[in-house]
Amino acid sequence: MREVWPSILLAFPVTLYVGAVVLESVPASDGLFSGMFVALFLLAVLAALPVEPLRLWAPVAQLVLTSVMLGALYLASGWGVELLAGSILASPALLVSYSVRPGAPGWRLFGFALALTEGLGLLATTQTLTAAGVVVTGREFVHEFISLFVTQGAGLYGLLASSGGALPLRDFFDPDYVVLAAIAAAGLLFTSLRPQTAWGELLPAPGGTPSPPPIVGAPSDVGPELAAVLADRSSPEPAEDLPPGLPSLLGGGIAAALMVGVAFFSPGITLVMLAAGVVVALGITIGLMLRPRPPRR
Amino acid sequence: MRSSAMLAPRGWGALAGGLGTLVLGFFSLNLLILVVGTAFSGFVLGALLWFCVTTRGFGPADFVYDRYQNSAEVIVGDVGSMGLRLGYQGRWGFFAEIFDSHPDSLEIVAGSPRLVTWWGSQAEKRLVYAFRPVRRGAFLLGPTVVVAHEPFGFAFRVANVENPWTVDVALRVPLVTAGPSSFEHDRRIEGGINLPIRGMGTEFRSLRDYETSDDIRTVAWKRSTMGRLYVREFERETPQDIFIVLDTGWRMGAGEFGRSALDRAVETCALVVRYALLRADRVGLLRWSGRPDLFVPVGRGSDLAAAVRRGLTEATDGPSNFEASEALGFLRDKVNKPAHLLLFAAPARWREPDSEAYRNLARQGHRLYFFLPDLPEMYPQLGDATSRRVAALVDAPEKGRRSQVVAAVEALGIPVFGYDRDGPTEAMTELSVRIRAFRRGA
Repeated sequence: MREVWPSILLAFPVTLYVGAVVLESVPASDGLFSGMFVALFLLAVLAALPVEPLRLWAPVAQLVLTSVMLGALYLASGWGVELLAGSILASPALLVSYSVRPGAPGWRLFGFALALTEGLGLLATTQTLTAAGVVVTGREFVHEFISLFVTQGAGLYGLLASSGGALPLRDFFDPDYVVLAAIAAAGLLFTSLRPQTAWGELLPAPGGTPSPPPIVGAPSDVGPELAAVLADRSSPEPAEDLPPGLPSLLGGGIAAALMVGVAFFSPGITLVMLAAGVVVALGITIGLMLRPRPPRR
Repeated sequence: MRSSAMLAPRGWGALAGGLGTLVLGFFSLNLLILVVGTAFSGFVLGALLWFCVTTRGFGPADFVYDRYQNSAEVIVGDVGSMGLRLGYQGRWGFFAEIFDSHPDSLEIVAGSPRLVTWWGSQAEKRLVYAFRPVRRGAFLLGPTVVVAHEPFGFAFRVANVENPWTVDVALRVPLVTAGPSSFEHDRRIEGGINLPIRGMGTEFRSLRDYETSDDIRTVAWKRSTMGRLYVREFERETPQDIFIVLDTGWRMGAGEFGRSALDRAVETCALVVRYALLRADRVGLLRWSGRPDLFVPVGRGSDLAAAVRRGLTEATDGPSNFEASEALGFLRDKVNKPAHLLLFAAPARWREPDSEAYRNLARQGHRLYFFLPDLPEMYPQLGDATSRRVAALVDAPEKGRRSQVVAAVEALGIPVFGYDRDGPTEAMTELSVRIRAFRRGA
């Protein structure tokens, strides 16, 4: 549980940054928008903390707040939309609170990528609204946020149909956001990628001191001869060769570097190269996994 | 046989998560999301590829094994041991989970049959553990399962190293274990049956005056005087056929481990077999679990002793009811020569077909002895008076059923020997007297 703390400290700032940038452009009088964000952000952090009662009650409180928001949206759309805007703004934090928990690294890192994409959309929405000189209220924000993703989808369709179109997410770039996202990714890797068996049992750590496995039961049950043999049994040992996971980390790093390199030198073929690379690597992996090698002579 | 690599749930999740992240990258076309997706997918695919390459060809042939410090026979309540040396001959090291398969009936009391460790190339691992059996029977240990784990738990390969070992768990039978070893002792006695005057009996009856036709070796020199010689007279004994019928239905499982109705029956059977083989009798066994589970025809010799021994050792209660008519009907065609039939059973009822089956056997000259466990008495007495009163209420239907069975069986003239958790010790004495009478031709 202790290892969750670094992840929390490293992963949440990026979502806080997104919230701060958006709320900076919102008038101070719009308390419902910012209030909903602050409440949900705090609940997201509490839900991520390794404290059991909080892990239970934070999602319950989130559920209550969401119900209040939906009720308000139904009864009085005016301030209901403000609450909706605040919850959209806090949703990356909710996704990150899911991602920092240990276990199921694939889904948790996907949740993190989803949070980054949403944060990207929120920042792009704010940039669009402030560039247009509009006073950012909850209503405008929600409308523009949805429009941005619709525009992105339409732009993608246009790209495939060779008819062109705007791609607001592609064109957005914020160096602070990139740095904070990189820090958050490092924090998530810290908890998600600990060496363990397929059933979630932690493997002997490289830095740990190997100790003999405990003798269950009373040693007096066995004679001195057997007790001597028991003392001679093997102990759990950490890896002797390469640090476990180094080849995979190298694989990830090389793949990312290759993609950035291709994107820098030949941006036109980046996506094609990426798609082809994924298909080939996936095919080789599955092929190797399914085909046992013939017996040795 | 080489094993395929299998994706663990974490691996499937990682692949799906990586591809999902890439989809997000393709949707946003933003370099940041694309880099995250590519790095993560590259990481997962790199991990799987590296694992597939380094464990390619992983299988049982990569291992050499040696079992040492292992018990072949353990008495119930004692501790047995198992040592296992495994050598890995593969090229690459891997994270291994080693598990020596063993039945739940062997409770681990020291050491461990499992180890999670890094296993380098050409290295050896040793598992040592001690176990205490909680059931009687023959138990198979092995195979040893070696699982190669991908360091992040994305995938694994399994190799079953076939190195079976059988442990026989036998009940402690006082008379049998008093000698060098239980049935080994029996076999030795049985194989070298050496009755002093075979055909003339072994039991001393009286002295009488010497006659010229008497064998000079029968003269009782110490009793004889100068003018009068006495000879010892022995009773003539006829070897008997003793056939054991052992019910292994669920009702025989009543009682604590090691003291259940079946356990006590098995102990008694072992004593009967030993007694019979000492007396040059012939012995047979029928194990009945709603159907003939094991049939050992009457006979003698070391093979017979071994077969009966295994049959008794492996007797465990199962989900069947005992119907005397079926078991006795089966014996009618199988046991031709008149025999003493020792029935260890706990039938819930005794009906007319059961009586009829017995009468058919009796007409063939068989004699039946019924060892009937008192099932409520197979459990220890409860401490306080209230609990005992409640137990009496609960036990009342079973007591009633038992009384009906006893009445019906005794009405047929069959001796009924009841027994509780201490076993049928007294009944054994009475039984030996009865069989001895037949042996002397009474």
